[in-house]
Amino acid sequence: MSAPRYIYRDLETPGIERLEVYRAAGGYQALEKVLRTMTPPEVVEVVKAARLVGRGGAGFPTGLKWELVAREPLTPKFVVANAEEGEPGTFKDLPILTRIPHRLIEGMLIGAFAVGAHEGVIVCRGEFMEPQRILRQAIAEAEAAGLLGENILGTGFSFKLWVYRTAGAYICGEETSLLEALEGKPGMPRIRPPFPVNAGLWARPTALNNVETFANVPGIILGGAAPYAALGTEKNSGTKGYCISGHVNKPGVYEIPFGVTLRSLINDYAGGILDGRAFKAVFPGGASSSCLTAEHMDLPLDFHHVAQAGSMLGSAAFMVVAEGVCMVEVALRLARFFRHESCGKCIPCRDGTYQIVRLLERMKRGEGVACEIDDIVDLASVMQKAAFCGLGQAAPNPVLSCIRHFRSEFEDHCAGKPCSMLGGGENPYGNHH
Amino acid sequence: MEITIDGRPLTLENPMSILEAARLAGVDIPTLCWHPRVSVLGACRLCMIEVVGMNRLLAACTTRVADRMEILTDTPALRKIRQTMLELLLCKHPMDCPTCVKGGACELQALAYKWSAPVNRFPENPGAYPPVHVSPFVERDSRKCVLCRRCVRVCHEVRGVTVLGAMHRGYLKEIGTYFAQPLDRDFRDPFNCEFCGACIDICPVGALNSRQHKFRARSWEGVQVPTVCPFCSVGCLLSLQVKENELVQSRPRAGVNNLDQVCFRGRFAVDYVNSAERVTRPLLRRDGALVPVDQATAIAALVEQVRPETAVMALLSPRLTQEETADFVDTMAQLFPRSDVRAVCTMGLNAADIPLGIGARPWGDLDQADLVVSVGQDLTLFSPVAGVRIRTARRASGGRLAVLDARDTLLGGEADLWLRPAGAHLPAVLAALGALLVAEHPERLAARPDGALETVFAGAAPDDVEAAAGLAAGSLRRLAGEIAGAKNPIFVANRGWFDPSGQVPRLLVEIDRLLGGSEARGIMFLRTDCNSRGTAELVAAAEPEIDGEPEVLLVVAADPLGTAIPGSVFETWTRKAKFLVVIESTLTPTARAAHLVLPLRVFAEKEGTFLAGNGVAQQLRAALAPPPAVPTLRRTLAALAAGLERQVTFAPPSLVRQKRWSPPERPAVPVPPTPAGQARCLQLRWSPLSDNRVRLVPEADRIFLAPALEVHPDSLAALGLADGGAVRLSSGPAEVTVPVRADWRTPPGQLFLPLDPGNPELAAFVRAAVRPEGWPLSCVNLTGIAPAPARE
Amino acid sequence: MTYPLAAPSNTISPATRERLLRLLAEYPSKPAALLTALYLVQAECNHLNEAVLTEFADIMEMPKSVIYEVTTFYSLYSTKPVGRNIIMVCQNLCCFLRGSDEVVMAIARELGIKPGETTPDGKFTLRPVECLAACERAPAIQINDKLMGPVSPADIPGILAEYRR
Ligand SMILES: Cc1cc2nc3c(=O)[nH]c(=O)nc-3n(C[C@H](O)[C@H](O)[C@H](O)COP(=O)(O)O)c2cc1C
Ligand code: SF4
Ligand code: FES
Repeated sequence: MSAPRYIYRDLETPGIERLEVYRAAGGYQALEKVLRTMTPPEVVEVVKAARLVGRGGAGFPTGLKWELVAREPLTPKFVVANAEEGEPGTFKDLPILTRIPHRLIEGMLIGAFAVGAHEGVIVCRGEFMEPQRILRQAIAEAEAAGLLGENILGTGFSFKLWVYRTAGAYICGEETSLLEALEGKPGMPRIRPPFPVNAGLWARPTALNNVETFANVPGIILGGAAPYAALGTEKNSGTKGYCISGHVNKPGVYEIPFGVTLRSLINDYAGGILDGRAFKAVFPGGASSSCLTAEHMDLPLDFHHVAQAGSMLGSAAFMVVAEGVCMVEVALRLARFFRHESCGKCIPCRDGTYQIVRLLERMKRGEGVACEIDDIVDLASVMQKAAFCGLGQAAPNPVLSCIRHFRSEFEDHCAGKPCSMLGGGENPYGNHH
Repeated sequence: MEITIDGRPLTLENPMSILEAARLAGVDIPTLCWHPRVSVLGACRLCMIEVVGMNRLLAACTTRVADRMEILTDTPALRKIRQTMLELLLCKHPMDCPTCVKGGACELQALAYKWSAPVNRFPENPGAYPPVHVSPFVERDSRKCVLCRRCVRVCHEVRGVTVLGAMHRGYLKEIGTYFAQPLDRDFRDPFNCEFCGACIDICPVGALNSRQHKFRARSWEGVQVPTVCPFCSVGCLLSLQVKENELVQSRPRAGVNNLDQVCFRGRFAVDYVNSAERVTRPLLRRDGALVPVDQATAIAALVEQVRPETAVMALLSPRLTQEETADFVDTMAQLFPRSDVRAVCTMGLNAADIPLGIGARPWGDLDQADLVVSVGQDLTLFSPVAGVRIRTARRASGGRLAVLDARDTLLGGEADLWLRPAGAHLPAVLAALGALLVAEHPERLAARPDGALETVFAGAAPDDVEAAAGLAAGSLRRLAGEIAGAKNPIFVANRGWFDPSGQVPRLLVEIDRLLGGSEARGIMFLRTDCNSRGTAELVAAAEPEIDGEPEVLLVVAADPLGTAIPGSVFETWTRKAKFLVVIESTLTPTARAAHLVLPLRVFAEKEGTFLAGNGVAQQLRAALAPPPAVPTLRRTLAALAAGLERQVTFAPPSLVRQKRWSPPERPAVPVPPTPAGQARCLQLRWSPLSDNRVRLVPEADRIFLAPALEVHPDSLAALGLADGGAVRLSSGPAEVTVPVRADWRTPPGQLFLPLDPGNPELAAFVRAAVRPEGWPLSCVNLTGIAPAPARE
Repeated sequence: MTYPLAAPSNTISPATRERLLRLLAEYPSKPAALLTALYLVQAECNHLNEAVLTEFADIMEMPKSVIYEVTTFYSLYSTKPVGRNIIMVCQNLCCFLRGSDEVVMAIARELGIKPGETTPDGKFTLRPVECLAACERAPAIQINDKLMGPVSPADIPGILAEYRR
């Protein structure tokens, strides 16, 4: 645990959310360096050389994204931070927003300089009330200190930043839906192309990144690309905020270089499985990912290897399930989540998530028929191919993988066998959406 | 670009979607949410295709073709997707196809027939919801909805009305209205249903249906007859479904003028042809009452009144076909050399005094305009499809829009610049606009105004006109700037009820000439009726001089006593006629006052030509067999000639369009008057109910306004009025009491009154109201306005 | 937004209208301000019913159908009356694994209502929700703007007592 930290550095320092403390800890030096000694293309080069990829889930190279925005002739351009943090199991951006807001602001300022934007927005999920207060406070402090607004640090660069609150919809984490919400509309995904880098907010070029992605940038600028690129695996450089929750002794978010094994993450960081129970399954990328089982304990955790194992790292949201939990209920919980969060635009996602929940609920009531397990598998494979956006394409993953690895539990439920595992019975308070 | 679709090579010049390319190549890719008239959504996923070498499947409607793409449209994986999408829709779809209105014309049926597999793994009872009446004319069965959102998109993007929406989220998503309210009239809302029925046409399934049409006939029954709308001068093409000689449904069909849109009148109001108030036999006044007689008796009664030297007067309507009009004009000239024929429009105004050259251009030209200036009032009410053309052209061209319209209508809200002069001031406003162009943008002018025009402009000092018309200071200057800055501005004008003397088009001709347009190139003009333009080619425009009382007056298809604006010369003429003959299809107020009524065929019973406002000639086809005793107009005229023991020669088709009369291309423009303060000017307003045919349609009165004094909510207090109260209006000696309505669409400080010809008290007031010299017919100069004392 | 929420109201007060107009001035267009403006009105009126939204649509000069589309799309707006304190209990996987069902039941018992309902005195609404981004503190609940966790059924009476006052 001695690797350098980029995202959460100084997290424990008292008062780090305040500008003076952040500056005393070396904050805004990266911004000074950028504004006083670098050109925008040089900034892009450093980020590219560091091989930074987006932390929102898709793992798109950040340097390339910024280069695409910088190249667009259309103005004004925008920088947008995605602070939706909607993927179940994800809670990695929250510490940045509430404890080190200035690192996000500094990262966005550097991004804005690199792409030529003079306005930025932090888009927060609606439930994040406290974080928004802290962010607004931090922005006010930075404005008062001449770090935001006109002629920043006397360099002539100007950047206006504000906070926007969406209103409770997981789909708003998807970048084009987020832009729709930011324009005051229902958060329904847009047709791509055009991509946000070409025509994003108000149809202007927009650099849209996850909060954690921005938070990496000041450290990269100050420390240089090479040390960052040296961390992690061959495929993914740097550190990652790994969220781990569920049946572990020390749930939390841990900043670790890419490539830590599942075993190490669970045992060395998260203190092992809760109460010494046996491990059953883990969803490595939140609700959108397929579960992994004990055979993957030594998998190095980066985007590449987790994908090779048939799942996805996504936002690195590890939801750990111990022995003794009904996997039909696990699948149902996640299926309900997607039914609730589907935007309702396309048929496969809207009606597919609805039918999967119906079938799983039938199984839970003991009314299912074994062939309906195959119906779910069949429907799910069509959803993955046909859905309009990432939500609908990923929605069947958890259910499919539960069936793949724990099919007998589904068959037992269909056969009407009583299930004594956690969640095996009827939901005690019914279906509430 | 070289691509292949299912192995077939295809060379493309222009960028397009894979779906469009496939349609070009004649390859059928199934679609449900895609529709050519609205934006692309990509929601149904039926159009998924494979591109060789790509590991993802793509939606054909949302993906552009790229060079060397090898596209496959029918593979096992794609079939599987299509089957599953249809299964997900059908598993909870009510299977009442045998009684469903859309049965046989349902896109879901057709898709299922071709693409679906006969399995249902997710059966679910759709439940038995009673259909919801979205409005008096539209009903919705949300169980059948496939959520393609075509209705929502056409309502927003094409009609600009925006009353339908996709409410809620995810599996609860439902097409609906604000809080599921029915779309009866809500006059407070600028976004109010126009009852155009575009949502019905575009719905692929039986989720949105016409209440009028329901259970009258299955989609495939009877015949579909292509014809033309008999209402306004846009000239929308219609397809009439006829079963057992009954009109069961009217729907738009694609035309150069209407694309594939139509308004309330073209879709629902044409149902008047089914009205029981039909004149099916000649009626003769005996002992004060109209009694049915046979044709010989009727003709004999008329012949008794006339001799060849009689100065027979005639009023005909621009609702007649070009052929009927020519026959009538020619017959009058041959039988009665001293006869005098005039045309009177639906609003009671002269129908033939607008320059012919004006507006003879295709609507498609709007796509090239960088500025559209819409001049005239309630364009979207009066000729809604013209509003659609402006809106859709703007979506394509990105051009700017300026609107001169006092009332709050859809186009006003969409405009970049919106001026709201009181209607009576519109001529003065245009004159001031001309003056500004001459004074401040000389570099933009192709010609200088001649002496007469200079006098007109000089009489309209911009600052004074702005003040009198209630415009913000400087707003006319901004408009002049917009016009001067545009390369290709187009004026769209209509003759509202506010412009009886036709000053607006005359001034526009002059302004357009100054800007370099020859032959009124820069103007689109909406005349009042379906054949106003054709009528103007055949009928003299000068207003008749009445010496005493017309001995015999023939009124054909016109309704001078029941038109919007009482008190016109034509009305007076009709009232004074010693012997009034009305040739009509329904019992209009004028027909009820006649001595003799001769039956006439309705538009659905005749063949002929209508000339749309922009000169496009379109064919009317007989869809219905007329009642047995209703001859063509030509037969009636021939019978009259025979009764007089004369012969008439009717013009052959080749001569039907030969002009009998040409109104001057550059009529003189009088100096527009500047009426007194606006608060005292009561503007009479046209309403669809002003048309006798619309009044015959059941439930039409539920969606259009009854007469009431319309005052902006913020102006009520200053006048001492209350919403829902009553007001006493006086104009000279005339007085009337009408209800008061707080009305958002009326600008603060102005007063409006929609006219309902069915209200005789109101008509009498308007007729008697004192109008100073030069005042437009449609403005009443109020001398008193006060809350009416409460009745006991 | 300030908590506890106001009691249900059917009109937008002049003060709120004032604030609304100031807010609108900060945005590039009125539609862009829609989400923010709805929050503002909801805080004052408790929820967004037909009377309130009709008045709101007048101020926004937007089609009512569009406003209703947005209002019903997002979970954090309500068109029906809600309690002045909103208790959100996560029921997604991580919280379920750590016993959120018991927490929901405990709250329901304590308030005498079912999940999804509002207490008759209008003080509380109990809303089972999807992930609150607090899985490390599972089972997590959020009352108004305050996130708490892990909570156990035994904590509930104490927590609610604070809001009862
Ligand atoms: C359904 C869905 C939900 C998403 N939710 C989030 C989210 O909550 N936060 C986030 O940062 N990115 C989320 N994303 C990813 C974003 O679309 C986008 O890729 C990301 O914000 C880009 O930033 P990055 O390049 O820095 O990762 C989501 C994507 C999908 C398809
Ligand atoms: S989504 Fe697609 S489908 Fe629907 S129409 Fe399209 S293409 Fe199609
Ligand atoms: S929500 Fe994205 S496709 Fe349905």
